[in-house]
Amino acid sequence: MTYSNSFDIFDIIGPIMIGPSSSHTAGAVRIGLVAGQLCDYKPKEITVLFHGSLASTYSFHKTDVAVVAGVTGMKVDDERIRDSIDIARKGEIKVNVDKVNLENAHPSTIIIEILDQNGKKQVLRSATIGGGNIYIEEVNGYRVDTDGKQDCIVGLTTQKRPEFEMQLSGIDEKLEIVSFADQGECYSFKLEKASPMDGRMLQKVRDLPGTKEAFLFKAVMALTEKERVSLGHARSLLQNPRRTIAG
Amino acid sequence: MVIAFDAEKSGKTEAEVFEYMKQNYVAMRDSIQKGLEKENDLLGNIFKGNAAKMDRFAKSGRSICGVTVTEIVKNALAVMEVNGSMGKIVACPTAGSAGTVPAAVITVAEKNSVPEEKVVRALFTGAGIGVIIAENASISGAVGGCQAECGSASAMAAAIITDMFDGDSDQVLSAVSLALGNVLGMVCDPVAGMVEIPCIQRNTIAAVNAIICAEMALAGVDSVIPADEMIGALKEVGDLMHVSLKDTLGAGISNTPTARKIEERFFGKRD
Repeated sequence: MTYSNSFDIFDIIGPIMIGPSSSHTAGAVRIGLVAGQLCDYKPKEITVLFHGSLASTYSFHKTDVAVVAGVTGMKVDDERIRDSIDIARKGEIKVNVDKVNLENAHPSTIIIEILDQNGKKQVLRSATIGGGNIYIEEVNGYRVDTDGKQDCIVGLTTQKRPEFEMQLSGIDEKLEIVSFADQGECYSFKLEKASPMDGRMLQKVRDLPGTKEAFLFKAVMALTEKERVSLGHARSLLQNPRRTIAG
Repeated sequence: MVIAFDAEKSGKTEAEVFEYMKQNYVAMRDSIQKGLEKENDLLGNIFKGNAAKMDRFAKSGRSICGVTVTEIVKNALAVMEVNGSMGKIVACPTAGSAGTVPAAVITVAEKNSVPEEKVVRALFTGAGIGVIIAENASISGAVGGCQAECGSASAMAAAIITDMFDGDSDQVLSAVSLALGNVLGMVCDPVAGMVEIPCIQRNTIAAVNAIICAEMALAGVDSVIPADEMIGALKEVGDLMHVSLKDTLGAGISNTPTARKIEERFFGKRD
């Protein structure tokens, strides 16, 4: 498993967020914001399971409140975060929170189970990995490996890779398959594109013959990786401290 | 001097990127304000009401540190109390170190009437330094100890202030090196894992450390050890730091008898 090791300046100063902890609050809200996209932020029921250190600390750090805020569409700077579970329950969303004991899991693993409006269960496995950064490991049991910094479409298809590639080229030639894995009866896929993607793109992927399910995960970090502000100046300054940079 | 201000590759105009940073600046200022308006209840409520105490003490005219230092300490406490109460702050570089840059930078900028635009531009310098630390060492207490969180925040604030007062790039880098050098080895040992003790008070030393180091650099003090080497030392110390001292409640302040009692109150007895 590889974690993102590159930062942009607004990861460093920013985000504007609700405290007290980048990992327990902002990271948890962002994980919720990814999970919420499995149901258009309109869940019927949310179950949040905490593993490892989070299992004993979530209630005092309000990590549960942060996750539910995200699933119901609140951004990291939303001052309603602290009341998110009450707000969800008033909106007749059932909320369950519990501990779980997993093997070989990141010490800050969070599993979110969502019942969508059709009563279908969607499961997301993730970890809050520090400094507000997140890692989305799995959706419905297949790997997605995303850090929430770039839009991606994930899903399952019965098509083999060459056929799937052909299908995709009919949608958009710039759509790139970044992973494709055998899941027994079907294949899981993850697609990315250099520019942002929207619901229409998702619908086209869903409409392909063979697609069993597909979800669009819009980036949940302040700026996406592709919008990264260049750090060339800062780096050259460190390498050549005698150089004065005017501006 | 502008560092890391290249909007070209981001597809955004320089003005848009500037505006984005300005929003962070405004949010930092608001977070100080909000922390001074009232006493905020913290999630753990184990280290609360201290910004108000500093405020009263400052107003009593009995400050022994001098007005600027007292104000910085008060403002660092204020932001961290807002943070601890699930209020809105700017992670800088993290939430646990969110009090350092606002307290050090905004307090001295306002005291010296530095124009807002100049402060915002200098924030890019600090952010650039933060990125370099993040990419070459760490900004996470769980990875590199508190030196990586409040230490990085302190180095960023020192860089911002040095830049804001027209220090050249050598002086900015000296300020960074001096600031990191002063806090090297600082461990991450929060009581009961709450962002309160010692996180809140650590922001006061990080903020005051920043102005001391900026002032030394502006006075011409050379750090001798270049900033990039000091960042290397930060990484080395962080890597060697025992895991019990990296946000795991194993040792340090979190392992004091009083801390254990507080922890028991929250989470029950440890197995």
